[in-house]
Amino acid sequence: MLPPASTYEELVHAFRWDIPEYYNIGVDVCDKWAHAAPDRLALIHRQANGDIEQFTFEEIRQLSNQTAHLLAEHGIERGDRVGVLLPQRPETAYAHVAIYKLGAIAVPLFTLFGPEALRYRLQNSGAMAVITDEEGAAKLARLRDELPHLRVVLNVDGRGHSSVDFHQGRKNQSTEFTPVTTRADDPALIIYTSGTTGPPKGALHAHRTLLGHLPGVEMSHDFFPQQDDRIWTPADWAWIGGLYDVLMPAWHHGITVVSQRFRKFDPEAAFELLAVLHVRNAFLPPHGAQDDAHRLHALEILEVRDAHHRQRR
Amino acid sequence: MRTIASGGEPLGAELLTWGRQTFGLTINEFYGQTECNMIVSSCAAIMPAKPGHMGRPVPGHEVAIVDEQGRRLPPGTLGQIAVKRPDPVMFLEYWYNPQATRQKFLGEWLLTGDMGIVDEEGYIRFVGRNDDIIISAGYRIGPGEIEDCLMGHPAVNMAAVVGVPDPVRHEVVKAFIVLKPGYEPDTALAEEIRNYVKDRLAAHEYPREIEFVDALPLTATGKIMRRVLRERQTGKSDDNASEPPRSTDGRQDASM
Repeated sequence: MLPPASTYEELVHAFRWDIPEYYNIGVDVCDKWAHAAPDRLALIHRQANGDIEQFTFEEIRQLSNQTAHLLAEHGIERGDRVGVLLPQRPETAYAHVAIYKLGAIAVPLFTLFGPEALRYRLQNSGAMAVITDEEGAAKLARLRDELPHLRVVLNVDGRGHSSVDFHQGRKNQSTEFTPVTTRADDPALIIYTSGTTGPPKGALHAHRTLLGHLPGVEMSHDFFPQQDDRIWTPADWAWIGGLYDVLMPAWHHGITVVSQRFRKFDPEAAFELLAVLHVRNAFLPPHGAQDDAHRLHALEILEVRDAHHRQRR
Repeated sequence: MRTIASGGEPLGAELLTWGRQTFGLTINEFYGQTECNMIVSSCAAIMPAKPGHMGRPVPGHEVAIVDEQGRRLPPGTLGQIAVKRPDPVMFLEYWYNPQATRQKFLGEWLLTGDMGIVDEEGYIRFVGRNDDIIISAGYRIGPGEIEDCLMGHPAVNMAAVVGVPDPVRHEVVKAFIVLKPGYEPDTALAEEIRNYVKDRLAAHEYPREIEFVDALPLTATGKIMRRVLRERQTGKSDDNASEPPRSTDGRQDASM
C-alpha cells in the first residue's frame, strides 16, 4: 500500500488510502492468491517433532472452505462469534480465513489462558463455537455449564472431552464455498485487551483493519514485501501482533509465512529456523514473545545466546 | 535476514546495536495497541533510527500528542499519544461496552492511554502509561482482573496489583495482599497464591512478587491508591504524587 519513496516526507506526501466499500479479509488473504497463483506457498509449518508441513494458497482456500461449511453445519451464521483457542499451527490460520469468509466474527484466545480468563471472554463474546485442540477442549469441558451460548467445541486433535472431531467433520465438506459479501466496515474479529478497572474489554475490529495495518507493516519491514521475502514471528497468533502484524498482512501480499509453536522459547531452534527455512523477515517483541511462563524474551535470549556463541569462537 | 521489526515495548539502544552486529540490519521499532495498531514506525530504509524513539507516524495515520482537553501539544511537551478518527485501522467499539468506548475517545481523538513526547522532526518517544496498566514482557496487563482473581483465594481479604520496574521484563506484576484473620504471611502461602492465579487466570499474568501488608492505601471513597503502592516501590516521596506517571523503565523523566 506504500508508494515508493526515498524520504519520509516524500512517503507521507505520496500516500493515499485505498479502502473499497466491499472487502473481506478471508477473500483478500486467501482466495485472491488461490486464483492468481494457486501453487504459491502460503505456510511452512514446523511441527514439534521437526517435521515440515507446507500449504499453498489453493490448499488454504480448500481447507478454509471446508471449515466454513463445517461451522455452517453447526449453525454458525454471519455475525456469530467463533473462538479460536489454538497456538501457531495451520488450523489456526485457515480457521480465521474460514470465519471471515463466513461473515462471522473471530475471537482469538491465548492458549495459556486459565479457566477464569476463558470463561469471561467466552461469556462476554457469546461465542457459539470454539475451534481448539485437546488441551483447550479439556479446559472448556469444565466450563461448559457456565457457557450457555457455546454449542460446539471443534477439536483439531480428535474428539476428547465432549468435543467434535474437527478434521473428521471437515473432510466430509465441499472444498467450494461462496464467501459472504461483507462491507469493509463490517465486524470481523474481537481481540480482548486488559482494562485498568474491571474485566477485559473486547476490541471489535472491522474487515478494514487489515488494510489499515498495511502501511505500518510495510514501513516497519523497509517496504515489505520485496523479492524472496518470507516472514516469521514467535508472537502467538492469538495476539494482534502475531495475527495482524505478521500472518494476515503477509498473506495479503502473497508472502510465505513460517510458523512453529515454541512451548519454551529455544534460541538455538530459533536461529536454526531462521537459517534452514530461509526466513528473511521477523517480528520479534523485545522481551515476551508468547510464553512468559517459560521466561521467553525473544530478542534478549537470542542476544545472550549469540554472545555465548561468539565467545566460544 | 532482510528486516526485523520490534514492538510492544520500547526497544533499547543495546538491542539496536545487537541487531546491527548480528544480522547487519537496523531493527525497526513500531508502536500501536490492540484498538489502533501499527500507527508509528521506524523505517531504516528511508530515515535514521533514533534510539529511545518509536519512529514517526505511519502515513495514513494522524498521530499527535494532546493535552487533557484534546488540544495538540507542541514538540518537546509531554502529553497523551492520540490518533485522529476516522482511521481504517481503528477498532469499531468495545463489545457490548458503550461506556468504555465513549471513554476511549475525546472529540476527534482516540486516546491511547500512553504518554509521549514528539520531537521537532516528528519522532515520538514513549514515556509510560497514564493509568495502572502494567507492561510486562510485552504484554499489557490490567490489574483489575488479577485483583478479582486474588480475591477468590480463601486467605485474601484485600488485594492490590501494580507493576514494579524490572530490568528484564520492563515491569513485573506485584500484588499487595491483606490477609484474612488466622492466616500466616509466609512464603508457602505466597507460593500458593501465585499458583492460584497462574492456574485460574493466565500463566503470563500471575503476580511474580507478593507482599503481605496490614492495610492498603485507600481514597476517601474506598478506592485503592495503586499509585502510592508503586511509588513505595520506586522509593519516591509523596511529594511527587501529583506528578504525571513515571516512565515504564522506572526512571523519573526529567521533562515531567
